[in-house]
Amino acid sequence: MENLEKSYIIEIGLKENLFDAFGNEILNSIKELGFDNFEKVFVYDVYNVYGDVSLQLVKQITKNILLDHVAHNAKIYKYNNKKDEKKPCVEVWYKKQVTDPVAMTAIKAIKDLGIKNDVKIRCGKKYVFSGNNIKKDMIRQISEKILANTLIHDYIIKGI
Amino acid sequence: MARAEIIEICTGDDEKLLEISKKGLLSLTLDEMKRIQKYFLKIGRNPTDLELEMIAQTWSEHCFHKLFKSKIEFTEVNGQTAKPVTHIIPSMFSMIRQVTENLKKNWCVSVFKDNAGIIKFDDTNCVCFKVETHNHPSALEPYGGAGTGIGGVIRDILGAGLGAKPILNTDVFCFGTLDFPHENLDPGIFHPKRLFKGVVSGVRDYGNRMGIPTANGAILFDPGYLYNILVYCGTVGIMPQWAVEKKVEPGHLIVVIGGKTGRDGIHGATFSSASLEKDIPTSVVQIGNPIIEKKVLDALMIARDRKLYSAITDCGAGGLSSAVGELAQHCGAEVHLENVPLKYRDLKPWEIWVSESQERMVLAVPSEKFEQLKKVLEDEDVEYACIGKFTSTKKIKIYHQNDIVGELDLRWLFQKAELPVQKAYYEERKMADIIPENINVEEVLLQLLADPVIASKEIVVRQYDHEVQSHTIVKPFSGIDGKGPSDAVVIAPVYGSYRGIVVACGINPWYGKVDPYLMAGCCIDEAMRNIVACGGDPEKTAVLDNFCWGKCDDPVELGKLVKCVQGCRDFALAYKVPFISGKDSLNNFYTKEDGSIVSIPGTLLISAISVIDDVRETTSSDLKESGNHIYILGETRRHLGGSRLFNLLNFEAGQCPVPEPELTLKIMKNLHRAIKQGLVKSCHDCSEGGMAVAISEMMIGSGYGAEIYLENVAERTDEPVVLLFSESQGRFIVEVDQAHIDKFEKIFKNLPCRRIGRVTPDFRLKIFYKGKNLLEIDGELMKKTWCGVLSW
Repeated sequence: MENLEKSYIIEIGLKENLFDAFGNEILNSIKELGFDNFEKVFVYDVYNVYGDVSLQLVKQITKNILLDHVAHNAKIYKYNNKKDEKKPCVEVWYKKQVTDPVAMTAIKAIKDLGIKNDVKIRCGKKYVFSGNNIKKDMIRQISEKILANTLIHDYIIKGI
Repeated sequence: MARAEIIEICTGDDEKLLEISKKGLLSLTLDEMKRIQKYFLKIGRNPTDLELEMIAQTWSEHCFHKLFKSKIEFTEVNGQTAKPVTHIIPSMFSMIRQVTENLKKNWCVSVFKDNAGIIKFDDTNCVCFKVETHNHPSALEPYGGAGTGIGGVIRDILGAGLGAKPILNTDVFCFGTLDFPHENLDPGIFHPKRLFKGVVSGVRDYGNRMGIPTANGAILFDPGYLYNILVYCGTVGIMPQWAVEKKVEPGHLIVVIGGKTGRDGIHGATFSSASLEKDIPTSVVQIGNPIIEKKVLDALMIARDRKLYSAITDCGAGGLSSAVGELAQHCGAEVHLENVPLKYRDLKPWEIWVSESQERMVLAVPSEKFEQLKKVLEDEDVEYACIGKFTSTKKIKIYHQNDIVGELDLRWLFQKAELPVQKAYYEERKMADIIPENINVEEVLLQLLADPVIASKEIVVRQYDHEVQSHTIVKPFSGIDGKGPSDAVVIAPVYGSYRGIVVACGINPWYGKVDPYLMAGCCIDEAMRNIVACGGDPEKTAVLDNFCWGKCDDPVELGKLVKCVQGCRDFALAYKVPFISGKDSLNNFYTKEDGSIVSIPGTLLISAISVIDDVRETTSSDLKESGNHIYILGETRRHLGGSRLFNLLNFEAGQCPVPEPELTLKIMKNLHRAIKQGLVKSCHDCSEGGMAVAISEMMIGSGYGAEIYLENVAERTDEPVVLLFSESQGRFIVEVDQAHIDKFEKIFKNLPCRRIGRVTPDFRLKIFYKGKNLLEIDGELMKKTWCGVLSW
């Protein structure tokens, strides 16, 4: 992340026609919190890839390691902290000191693929919300009560 | 590179000593700090931070179980004495141990000394069982805490003897009530539903990824667990008999394998000795990596069978400090911390030493075997490092890049300290004897079926892989559409052999609120009932105790614990079941903002394991055929105190069930015979919700109905409410077909065995009382109610 020029996000989500059990479960929990104005939650696995990487390498990692072509779509973009998302959403990342086993496994897979670059990865989740009259404070509450544990996670609200 | 710091304690006064303990999160008492001061004054120097950390970890409640080893001055007021009577109890641990020593079961192979209790399985194998708790970590981070809870107990099994192969996981959870209003939650406390989901996901992911079936457990809900949840994780393993003993000799290499060491879980051991407070550092939370542990498991099984190491233990609470310390206890060791594989570089020596990073095991390896071991580990892609060797110095000497960062006398470190005498007080609760009047039994039965404690846990159980390793015989659910709850799980762990084990549990904190002594008896009775109902042998059953208690420096809380431990001793002796392993988790309490303290209801989990000759001689709980006879075994008495009925009605009254071990044991032995002879078509024990719920559950699994004549249930008929919902112990509902009733009744001659009704073809429950139709409910409605409570 130190060098934003060389920091990418790979965003992997279910194809639109597939039932998103996880997103649905979260929507139920949101409604239990009393926010009936939320209509849908889209859940994405996000990987922040940085270090010694190029766009081409990120594409290769996505295609060969992270993406299940049958069920998933992937989007790759440069990481930035600006809040230019179109829809209200929140990203949840592990805090720096917390062991991230999925990232460790991904890095190992990259090495197993024969890639010698010093690639670094952080794993997170991104939740995109749709509904009426969604307020930032609602997403804050949802983040703290359902999606993130602030003891080990940081969350960043965007698009609102 | 960071070095060890010297901590000035030799000149400190009491205040200073306590401040050092508090500041370093060491959880050491003033007496202990003074002992440390005395030791270092004697050797003429101050300790390093690493030494203090190692002492704190070794002496922590978590690792040393101080309270269970302490003398207790116990004052009791009960109905018989009226005046308080005080006597000294040598220790709670000795009470538990006494049971196993007195019973002298020759199939108990290794008890209370290794990482798990070990019993004989067949001529070549042993099975071992361990149950742990991971309460504090799961309350802070449910997914990670529960995952590492199951990961930790699996490592206990890998570290039992020379390592056993895990074949079954069990889990028992206690949460606050799921309908607790969000807006009433204290800040920093997760909602019970979030904890529930997180914990289940954690156990599911870790267990499933390790390829171990999770197939037995329980889930309880009570407002008393709002601030402190309980997460019990258990694992059963199988090992060859030759692998039971471990041996550490001077000269053996210390090899750490598996995960890398980071800052995770630092102070877990000392932290678990304290209550939950705010401002928890991130480092106490650990995230598990089951894939690493799976590789460790695979490599260990190969290395064990090739006899490439002579001792093994897991890195649990206290990390390397605890693991190496335990192995080196009787000889000595020299450790080079710079050789420990690290996640990142900036770790201080003491952090490396006490880190509780997951998925690590420590081996004692004869030097001539090291090359072969390396090959196995490399083939299985397991990280390893030789970090030192065992010596004969009776000292542990720890280096970090040529600096000595710690040197302690192991005899002093592990010597039995004079523990302070604890005070405990217990006063028997007198409960009014009430029978609820004017209740609609149909409505009440449906409400009980919808009670989350009783309702189907299928939504959880089906997330677990209970079939992996393909040896699960009696599964968590039985019946034609797999909806009926099983009392226990039966597995046949050796391929090609019908020999099996039955595993079950018993837990009921509500009886404990009335009488912790009787609760212990009921938990043992329930665990054994579950075992026997599925075909287990009551004479070859062993049990494990896990106590989770509140604020134990409060003499009243401790008094309840003492009573519970006494109950364990007395009833285990009466039922003739040995304890083979146990664990306590104390200080499960929460201090609210206004300073008030909320302790959990004192909770005892009894886990039971029984070895049987033939897994084909077992039975399940679902009714099998219309026309068959339904029997009740055991006596039904007016036992409604702590029952689900009284919880539902909010009654704090009544006598809680009083187990009758002598009678029950006879019934159990005969029932076991009857099941072995194939006389029993289905069998279910009566537990929460009493007979009415037990019969409902047998119906739900089958699609058949039942007709019950209530006046036949007990010798002296009581109120129908009592007969339906009393939770008297030692009772079973048994289905027998026409052809076998004579044989069956003969077996139970002179014992309480009463024919109470029949299985009917239509899916309805009909209960009659003295010629009147008392209750009639559609089976589909019962099933829908029972299955529809817990949702995700």
